[in-house]
Amino acid sequence: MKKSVFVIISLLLLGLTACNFQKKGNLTFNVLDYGAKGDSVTDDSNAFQKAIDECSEAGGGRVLIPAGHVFMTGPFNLKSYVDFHVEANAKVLANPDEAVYTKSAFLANRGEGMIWIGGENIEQVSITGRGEINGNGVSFMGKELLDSYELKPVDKFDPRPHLLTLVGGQNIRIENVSIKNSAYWTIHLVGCDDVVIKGITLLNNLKVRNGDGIDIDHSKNVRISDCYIESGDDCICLKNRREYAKYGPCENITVTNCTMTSRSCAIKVGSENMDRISYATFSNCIIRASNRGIGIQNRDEGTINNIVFSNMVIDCKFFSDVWWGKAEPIYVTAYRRAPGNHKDAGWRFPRGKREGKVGEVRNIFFSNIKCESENGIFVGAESNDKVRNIYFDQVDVLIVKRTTYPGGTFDKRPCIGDGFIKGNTSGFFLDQVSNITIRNSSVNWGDTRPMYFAHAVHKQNVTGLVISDLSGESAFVDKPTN
Amino acid sequence: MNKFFTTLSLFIVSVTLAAKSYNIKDFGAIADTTILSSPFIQKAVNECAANGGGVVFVPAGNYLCGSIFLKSNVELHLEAGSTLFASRRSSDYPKAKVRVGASDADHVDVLIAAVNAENISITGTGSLNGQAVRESFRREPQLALTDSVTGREIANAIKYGVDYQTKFRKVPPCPGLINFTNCKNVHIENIQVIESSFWSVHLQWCDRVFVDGIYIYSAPSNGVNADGLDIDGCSNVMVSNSVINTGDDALCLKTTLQDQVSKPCENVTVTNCIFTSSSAAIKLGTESFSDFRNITISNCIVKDANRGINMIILDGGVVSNVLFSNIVINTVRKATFWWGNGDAVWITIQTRKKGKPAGKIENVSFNHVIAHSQSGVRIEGFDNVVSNVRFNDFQLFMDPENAKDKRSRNGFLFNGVAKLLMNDCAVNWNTSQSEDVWESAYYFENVNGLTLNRTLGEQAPNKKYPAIKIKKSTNIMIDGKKTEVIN
Repeated sequence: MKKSVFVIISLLLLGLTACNFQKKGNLTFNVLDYGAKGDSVTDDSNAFQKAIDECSEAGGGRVLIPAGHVFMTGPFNLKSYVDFHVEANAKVLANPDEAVYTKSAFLANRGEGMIWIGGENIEQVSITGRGEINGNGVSFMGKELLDSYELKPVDKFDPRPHLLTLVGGQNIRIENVSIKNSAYWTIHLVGCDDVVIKGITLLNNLKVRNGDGIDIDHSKNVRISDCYIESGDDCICLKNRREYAKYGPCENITVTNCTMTSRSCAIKVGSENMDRISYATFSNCIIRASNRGIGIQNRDEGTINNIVFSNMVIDCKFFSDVWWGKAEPIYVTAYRRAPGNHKDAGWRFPRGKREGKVGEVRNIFFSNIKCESENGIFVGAESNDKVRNIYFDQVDVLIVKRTTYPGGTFDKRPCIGDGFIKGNTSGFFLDQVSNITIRNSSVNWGDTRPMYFAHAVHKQNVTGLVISDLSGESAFVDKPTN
Repeated sequence: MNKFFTTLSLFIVSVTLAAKSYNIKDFGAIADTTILSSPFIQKAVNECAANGGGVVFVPAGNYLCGSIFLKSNVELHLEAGSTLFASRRSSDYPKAKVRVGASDADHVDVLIAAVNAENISITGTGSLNGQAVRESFRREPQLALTDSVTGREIANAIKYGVDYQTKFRKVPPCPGLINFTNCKNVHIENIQVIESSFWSVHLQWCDRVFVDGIYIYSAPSNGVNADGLDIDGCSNVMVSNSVINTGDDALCLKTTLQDQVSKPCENVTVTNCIFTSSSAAIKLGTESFSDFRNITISNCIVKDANRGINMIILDGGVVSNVLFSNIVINTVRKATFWWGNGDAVWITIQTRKKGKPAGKIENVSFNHVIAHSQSGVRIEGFDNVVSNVRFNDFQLFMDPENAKDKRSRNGFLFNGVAKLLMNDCAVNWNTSQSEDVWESAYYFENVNGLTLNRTLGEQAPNKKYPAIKIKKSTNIMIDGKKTEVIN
């Protein structure tokens, strides 16, 4: 009897405390209280999902991933009104068992990875804290090569998990967390509106192919700032995937104050683009030790326009041909894809088609950008009308030999026909494009100059080229220039 | 009944959590500025770290502190209304001082320190308050003429009858408020850092640093050595949305040397900040033993500063790839003991000691800058040339000096520069209140490779000097025409 009175009293006290919490709107749902083990070997996904569901159903609050534990989990989904908070020294680790990943990251297309942390049609969701979310990427890889991992052969589907896939999200905030080692894309936002990604560290294994950093897909009103990103594939990528056509264009995107490294392309627009990508600004960023710096790579019928890149330092070098890119610090291209005969082809082209078209890239500004690389800037298209109105203002190109990879080549992949343009290394290499302005810019060369180092500006089939106040000369002044 | 149990379990969840945060009051800290709380805060930090990390919570209230050492995976969260006051008793700082390798202070006391830690942060909208005490004193009068910059400034002050002897010095103890050395993944967010005795926030040899939304203040009248944010030999630093208003330099990138070790400052981005300083608002140097490279600063305001943008490279380091863009600058004269002349920009290479190799500065660009200044823009490669500099759309407005001892001369002055390009720049003299000491809008000496395009400027209102003066310079192009030396 006495005991039960005591219990009731303590319950009342607890109730009071809880009421205080509720008044402050400070409800917290600790995954340990939902049965998570946090021992790094038990799959805790059920506990995670329970905590998230209960938090969301209670009207929202914080799902706490507490410090001092490694929580190994398979797939789980975020829900509305949940702050998924990973404390410093807490780690959420993807289950290395391929069999647990069954939901595709691209709807019916099962060939390009599965979902680990998901979330659909959600609002007011955040991922915060100073802990780590780790995709366990290397455990899904094949043999280790010189600068990449081989991909395991896949048959009908690719089990590699994308780290985070949010589809149809609103008011999404991702702040401060460390996100590491994804096996496929890391943060994939599809059809999201009002997104802030701020102050995160994103460290993928640089050898993991398809290990993109942040993919903004059919999303709008996205602000990214103060992030540090290292990824094997593209660091920040704007695109429109065909699987998610219903979400409309990708627009109103600002990116500032970030530092990035990629073995592919640090800032990328494309290549999948079946709608429109526009109204984007990228400024005050540093790109270092990358293959490509900024790449606009249109390969589908969608258009790309009204994008400004300014105030950046870009530092690039060659990597092996596994990676798209030939160390072009800036790359602006539009080519249609090769007719479909590879694994993704069915999903790249409009339903029922086996070949596609390419849309226009226009009104792109590059301003106040210092580039240092083994290769020059490349602007190219399959015909003059596909890339036009491209402005380079205060763009400095310093071409220096850094690796033993042979140069004199630009990379058009993916495209019809030969993937590489063999020719020479020039400061600005312009191929079949229109209305290009280069002003207040410079081209300089390092001391080691292989024979394929050529011109300050090389153009072929270009209409409407305006050059003013360009300083620089060809690599070999005695040779005739274009 | 079932429902009752769900509710019950909810209560328990909340309560277990409340116990899990490391509230400093639970460790004995008391919100009382006469009782030292740092030992209890340290206990909270230690226990938090020992349990794998988490949040050390500082609830609203005023606490008195000596040194606190942060550890890996600890977030120190200062709740709104909380302040950690730095103790004014020297014995409250442990004997092991932090080595900072500054040219004027090798070792210092620190309020919040961390060494070799990972994943540390200071967050919340609370404050750190250094309670700095400074006293004024009179320096010895200068009897002999010296050729140092200070020497010449003093001679000038004497000429105009201006007091140069009043100075300030800090009264010990003199802790800096934050020093993180050799740390990785550091976040400092939203806090206020007030009246530090030494550099307010000193980040030394850190990798991946995020500074966002902080406010730093030290007295503009006497905050000597109370720099704002010092980034020393760090890589991958992102600074944004901060306001720094300090007596000494507001934002300063350095590369100090300690025990023969110096690390480069690289990949630093700064945006959306407002800087005010009685010294330099944005500075690189003076400690420059290692390199500075890949630095972008944009969308900032420099307000009421003695110097706007300043590089003083004295110790042999190489500065390269530095971009300043979209910046509004307003500089004014300050008391004579502060370094600076109200200059919008001053960039120089000198050697601290004769005979040591000089540093380099190359690939620097200014783009879209409006500067209202009581002195001009100077780039002076004294001991080595400054090379590859571009000014694009730099509008300089020359204002009268709010000091009796006049120091301004030219609008833009360049001496010892290679490959200088100016596009769409302008000098606008204040014609209603002009200075008699004003000289040329543009002055070039020892410039090899000068290109001017659509760059405008008239004679100063006193009409004593030409609008543009070029001396001992070669390879000059003006608006597309090769030009011989004009004067």
